[in-house]
Amino acid sequence: MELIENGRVVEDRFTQLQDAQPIAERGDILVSFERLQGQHEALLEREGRLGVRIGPDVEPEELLPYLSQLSVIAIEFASFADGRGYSTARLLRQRHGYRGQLRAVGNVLRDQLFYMKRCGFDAFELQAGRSLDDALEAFSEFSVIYQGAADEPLPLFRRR
Amino acid sequence: MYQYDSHDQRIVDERARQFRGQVERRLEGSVLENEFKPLRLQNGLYMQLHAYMMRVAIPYGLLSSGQLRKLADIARRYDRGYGHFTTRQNLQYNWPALEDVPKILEELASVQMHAIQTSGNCIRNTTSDHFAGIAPDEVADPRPYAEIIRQWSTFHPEFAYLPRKFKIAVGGSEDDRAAVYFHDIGVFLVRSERGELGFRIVAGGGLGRTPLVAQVVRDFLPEPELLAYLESIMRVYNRFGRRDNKYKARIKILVEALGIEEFRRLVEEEWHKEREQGALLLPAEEVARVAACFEPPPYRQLPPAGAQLEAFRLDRDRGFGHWVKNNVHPHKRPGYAAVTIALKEKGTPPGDVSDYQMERVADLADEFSFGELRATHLQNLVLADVEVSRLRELYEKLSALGLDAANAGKVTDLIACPGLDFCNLANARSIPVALDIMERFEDLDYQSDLGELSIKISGCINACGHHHIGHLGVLGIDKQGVEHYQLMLGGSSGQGASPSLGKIIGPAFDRDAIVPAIETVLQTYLALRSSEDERFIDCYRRVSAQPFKEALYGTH
Amino acid sequence: MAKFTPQFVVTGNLTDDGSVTYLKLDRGWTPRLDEAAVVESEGVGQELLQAARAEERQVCDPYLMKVRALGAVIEPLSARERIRAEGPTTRLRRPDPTL
Repeated sequence: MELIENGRVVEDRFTQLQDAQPIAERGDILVSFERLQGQHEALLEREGRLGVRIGPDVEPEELLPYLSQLSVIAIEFASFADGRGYSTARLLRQRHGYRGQLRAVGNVLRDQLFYMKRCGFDAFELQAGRSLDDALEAFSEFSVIYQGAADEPLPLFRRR
Repeated sequence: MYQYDSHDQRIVDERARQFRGQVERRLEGSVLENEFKPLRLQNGLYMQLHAYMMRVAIPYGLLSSGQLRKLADIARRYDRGYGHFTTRQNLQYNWPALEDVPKILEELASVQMHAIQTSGNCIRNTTSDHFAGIAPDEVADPRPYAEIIRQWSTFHPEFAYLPRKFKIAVGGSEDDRAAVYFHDIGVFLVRSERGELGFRIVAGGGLGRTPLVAQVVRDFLPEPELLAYLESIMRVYNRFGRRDNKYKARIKILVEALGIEEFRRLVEEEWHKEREQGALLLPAEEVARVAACFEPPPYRQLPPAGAQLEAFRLDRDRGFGHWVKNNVHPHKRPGYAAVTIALKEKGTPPGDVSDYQMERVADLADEFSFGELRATHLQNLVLADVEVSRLRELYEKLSALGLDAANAGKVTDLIACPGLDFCNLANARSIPVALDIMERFEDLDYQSDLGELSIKISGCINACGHHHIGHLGVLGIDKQGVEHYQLMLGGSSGQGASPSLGKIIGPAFDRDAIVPAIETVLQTYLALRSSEDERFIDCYRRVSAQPFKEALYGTH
Repeated sequence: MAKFTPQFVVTGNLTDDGSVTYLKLDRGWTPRLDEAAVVESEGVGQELLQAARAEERQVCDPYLMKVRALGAVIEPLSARERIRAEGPTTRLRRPDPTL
């Protein structure tokens, strides 16, 4: 499937593995948080990159033991109205120094992309049926930002 | 007042442009209503009973005459020739067409105004004391801090999808003229023992289904820590606030559930980590930069005007005498006063003002008050810097406009939400009850005798009319399809008396009985008060609900 | 008072200006309640409502409201719907004093 990654529409190289599916020996895979915790050893002993998919109630601190092993953390927005993922992303980026891909998945709408990027997301899976090319315009809708965040740590008053 | 620089201007221009795109996509069908709704809410556009309703932000209530003229112009060209001032210092238009809203936003942006975050589950308009900067009892002017909070909260990317709406108020004095204790976060300016300026931070206040007075989170927060501390509270709320039940989602529920100790612990743990990064430290230069926009205007050197005010109060023109007694307020500078323009004329819904009146009031602001005015959470306007020697002239001009209601702080200076005449959420109408009260008690001598009274009327439990904190509160309910009204007594917003929540006095009254019931309560007060000087709220607190209950319902 | 079974009308607000609107028999929309299509059963009402929901460009968030229809007279059964049908019960604007 397609997603937006660093401002471009690309093909997703990661395979989303359901819990019941066996772990492939090679290739890039995305697994659930339960699987990451439960089958940790097995997941590390393979070629290919590892990513995890977490729900809105997983706290960033729970991921700390795994951060260096994860190429992708996919944060799920079960409803677009549930804003916990924004805090989770910011904390992972700014407080815990996570450098891999932060991907917004689930109920992700075009008009949230600007804020999500500011919070540290660099990849986005949009709701099915939405134009990704049209969504790209969302990133440049605002040229001025008041607050510091993951993309620019200093608030405007330190940059004026 | 704060002047936009190129950054601030670009933000509102780009927001107007963004919303234009969103409206176009809605009107051409590429975005559905359920996706469009949060977007239009973040631009303050509601769907009400008869039409869209648009809520324009008036940051901490401060307006220039030019901005008021623009609001009048918008009312005339895009609405039905009037606007409604709200209990959060904002202005509402009740009849805009969707395709006009982008244009309205552009017009607002041209005078440094917007409708950003006046709705939705985000940080709303930060409100403040309508006597900010001029009140003699002020510790310091709260407006620079309200402006700093405004900028920090506008388009904050992390807190745009909170569990629920979020309201912040800033107070500059011990006497709470902005109902600060009933906000999600309240910020009071205080001085430490060593004279250092800082803040008392309170949190978890609110009205609605679960009314609560805010609790103190921190007694003294040094000035540079303001934003880091607020950010920490917001992050704790965003992460741990309830999202399972819309009616249990405000921060007050979280504070109550955790207890203030645990809440404080979580906030300060987050605050310490935030401080390590240091990005949110508020430098003195930034405070100074913003505060420079709120420097006092070029006051004249005038002699104290106490004797003149006293003479005015006894004036032959009783209307003028009452107006000076009630609507004219103390000012820091000798010879000056603040004036309330009460938007409480008999026959007009509280807070409503016509386009024509707005334009003339803008002229009066230019003529009498250095071109500025304030909207208050009591649905009135204030001209803050009027020379006492010119009060009569001002009064006469207000009379010609029909804006000379001499009832500030009295029984007919009530507040009311729009209620079932307009609002989707309401159970009963509030405006007709307000109009009846204003008619029943219109005699100024009687109002004088009744003294300081605040009546607050809400059409539903959401309490936009702040009924829990009125000396008398009225709540509209639906009893089997018929409008009824619950009466509660003894609330206080914190102005002139400690903050308290009113208590329901007994079974609800129907439409015909509610105003007579209020009359009975006030008659009972007159009979029970220890002296002419004992205010209703003090009398109630002394004698309790019992005598009022008996007067209303009889003894059983 | 004799008991009666409520009937149903589909109503909503027009997307363009938010004004109150009612579904007609011919599936068009009208601001007048007395031109609305009245259905006897909630089931049929739900069917009409589903179709109306698809007309997002025209109408926002349509829903079923209860009415009592006696001949040509269609009466809303709640204060809220009465006010939606008739408009606010307060005068909107004071005349300007100098005009």
